[in-house]
Amino acid sequence: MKGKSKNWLNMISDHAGLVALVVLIFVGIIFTDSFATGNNISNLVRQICINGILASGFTAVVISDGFDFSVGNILSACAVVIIPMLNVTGNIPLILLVSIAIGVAFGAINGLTGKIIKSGPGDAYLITLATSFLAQGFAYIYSKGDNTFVDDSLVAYRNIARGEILGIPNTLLCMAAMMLLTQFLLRKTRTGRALYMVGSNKVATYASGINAHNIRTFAYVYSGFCAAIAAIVMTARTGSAAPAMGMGYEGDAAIATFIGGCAAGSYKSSMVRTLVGVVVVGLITNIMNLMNINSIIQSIVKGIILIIVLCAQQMKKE
Amino acid sequence: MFCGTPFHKKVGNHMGDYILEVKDVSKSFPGVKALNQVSFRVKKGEVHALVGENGAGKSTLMKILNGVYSKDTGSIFIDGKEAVINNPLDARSCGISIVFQEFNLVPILSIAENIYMGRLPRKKGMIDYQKLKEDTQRVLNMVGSDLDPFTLVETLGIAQKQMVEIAKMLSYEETRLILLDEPTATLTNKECEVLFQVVADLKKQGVTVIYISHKLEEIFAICDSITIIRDGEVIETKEVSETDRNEIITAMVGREITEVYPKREGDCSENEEILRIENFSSQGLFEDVSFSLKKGEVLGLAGLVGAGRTEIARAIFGIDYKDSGEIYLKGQKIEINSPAEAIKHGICYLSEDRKLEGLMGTLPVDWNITAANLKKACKSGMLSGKLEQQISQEMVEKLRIKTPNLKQTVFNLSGGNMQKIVIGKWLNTEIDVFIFDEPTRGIDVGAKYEIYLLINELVKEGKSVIMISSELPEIMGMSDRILVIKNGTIAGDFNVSDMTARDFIENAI
Repeated sequence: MKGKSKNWLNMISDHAGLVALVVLIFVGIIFTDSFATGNNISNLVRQICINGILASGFTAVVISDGFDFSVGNILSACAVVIIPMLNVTGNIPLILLVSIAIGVAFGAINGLTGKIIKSGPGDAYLITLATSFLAQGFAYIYSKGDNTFVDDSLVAYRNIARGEILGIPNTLLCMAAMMLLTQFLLRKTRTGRALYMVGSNKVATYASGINAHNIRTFAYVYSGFCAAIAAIVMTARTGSAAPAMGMGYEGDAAIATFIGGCAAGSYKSSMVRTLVGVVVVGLITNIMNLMNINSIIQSIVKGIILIIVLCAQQMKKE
Repeated sequence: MFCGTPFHKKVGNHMGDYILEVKDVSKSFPGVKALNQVSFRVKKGEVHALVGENGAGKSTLMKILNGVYSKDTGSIFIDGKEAVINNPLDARSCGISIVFQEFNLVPILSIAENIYMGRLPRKKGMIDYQKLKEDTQRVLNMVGSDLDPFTLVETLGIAQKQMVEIAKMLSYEETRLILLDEPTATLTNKECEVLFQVVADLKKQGVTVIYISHKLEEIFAICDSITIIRDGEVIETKEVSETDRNEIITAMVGREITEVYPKREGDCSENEEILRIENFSSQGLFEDVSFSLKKGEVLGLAGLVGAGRTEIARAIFGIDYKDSGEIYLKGQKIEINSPAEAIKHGICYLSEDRKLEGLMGTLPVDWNITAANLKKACKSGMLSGKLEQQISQEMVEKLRIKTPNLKQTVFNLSGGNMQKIVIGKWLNTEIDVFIFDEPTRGIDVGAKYEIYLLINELVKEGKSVIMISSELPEIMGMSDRILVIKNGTIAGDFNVSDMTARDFIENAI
């Protein structure tokens, strides 16, 4: 008998993300008025794209047994640098490169610090938290605390987020591109495979001839890269850059990755799971907004959901 | 290792009730049926051996008895009454204690804290360290150990940890049935004798012992009856006095094995040198070690546990530091500062602790096999699932790895199969020099033979092997030349044809 009930639990927790997805869709339809409208759905789609891009990088980090607190503030740091530069030069390719450079630099700080102190399992939280503060400080200092606005003449830039191609919003295309790129990285490249190996057993990976610290550094650099891309999409959408712009987004990225079912060194982790998680997080926020739930309560709800998912994962291990 | 003379102090069989009856127990894991309607009985007060190939189901059965796993179907009777064992606490209250192959010790705590974990003696609400020390010393003495009770477990060697585990089990007064899982795998002769004495003492006190081991000599020396398991099913239960070695092996393997060490043709003494180590030193571990390895040769490194052989090998592989020393590959001096460099030069190291250093447990079989040579699994620069499957399938067949499919998560497999996968990983690379550290430890007779055949094949293809082993018959049966290591230095260098067991003992001790 015990064996049978365990099976049920296994199945649910294995596909926790999908189960949550289905449940949420029902809740949305039943408990709110405007959930199933075209307007709401397109809002939803636009909302999840930033998180989707951040979660791509976060997934790479999680698979290699890490955690990245800093993605939100890295996004802010990139934003406050590129918008003034854009206003002056009008050169989109340039600011793309600059954004990436900044994201990669902060990611490198995460990775190289880990390498220098020969980091163990729990160190990622501290290291990335520290980098998060660095990035936040940098954003405030560089912007002098002010918001900057994208010049009205730069329509092409705004279209990165506002436009459509063949009826599909550009933001969605950006998310899709980043997710596809990440999935390719994870499943088709040797470096991507090394992420799984490092996350599963750092020592054995080293003994098999791969430099585990370098691989983890790469994961953080990639996460920084994703934050940089997210910065571009976000500033294009809002038309502004603020030093606290990305703050808190790391939470959504983390929840999306874990609810989707990704875990350190877990063979089943991939962008497919993260995508489910991203949609779930998006639905949660969307439904709570439609129900006019206060944002603090929203945070509490998200926290509870995360705890439930983590517990289900633990029970499955037994 | 053959543990000395047969142990004579056998106490007569206790005729009496059965302390344990296992009836129709089955257990499945995702994709693997580990136990299928297993039934057998253990008499009170006897030493009952449990043998079977790796993956036969012995460890699974023991974990069910100990409450770590739950059985799917079947019943367990203790003293005739049905027992419900859902967790190790239930097992303990039934009087069952177990010492596993993989230790359950917390490295950062001391011996005393490990043994009395969860029941540290208290005085007025605070830990009574004096009593803790005395109690711990008492149980440590029972296993012949004079370690300081407050030594940190992480500083202990494998053999010492083993003794702590056994001491821990002895510290429970209600223990009536003790399960020993491969207890002598890492023990020296002296330590084996101590263990046998401990088992005899337990028997005198009326404690029943279930003894899992691959070492048939030990079983004939100290066990009363034996149950043989193959592929998750019980083949038979017999009195030890009514059977012999051949019968047991045949039952275990399902086929007859006549030769223990496969013969090797050819003579490599005229071959050119492929590897030479000069003046290898690392303070406290080994000093001024120099030797050379010929192409196509099997060089055995013999010695007592703790002599420094593993340390030398790891220094060659670049996974541990050395203070000084030079390595020459095919006559050219090379630098090896990391495993990646060693692998590039065509040298690999199969670790003693394969779980910790050889395998990525949460990843599937095929990912583990390709782990050291991802380039080979690539087509036009991208990883190809198909190519990977092909490579892994070939390796699984070649090494007779028992797994339901290539995507099976590796930690679900048995110890022996895990070892084979690590070997497969290295075979999948362009390695010329294989350093095997205790390659057949914890592996059953059938699989051992397969590994010996494999070593012979490697050598036939022109590869070279350095084999570290603590089993003298094995190292003498498989090597061309043997170096005896004692206290970190080379104490003897013998051609196998000229060497006797006596030579080993005289040089190693």
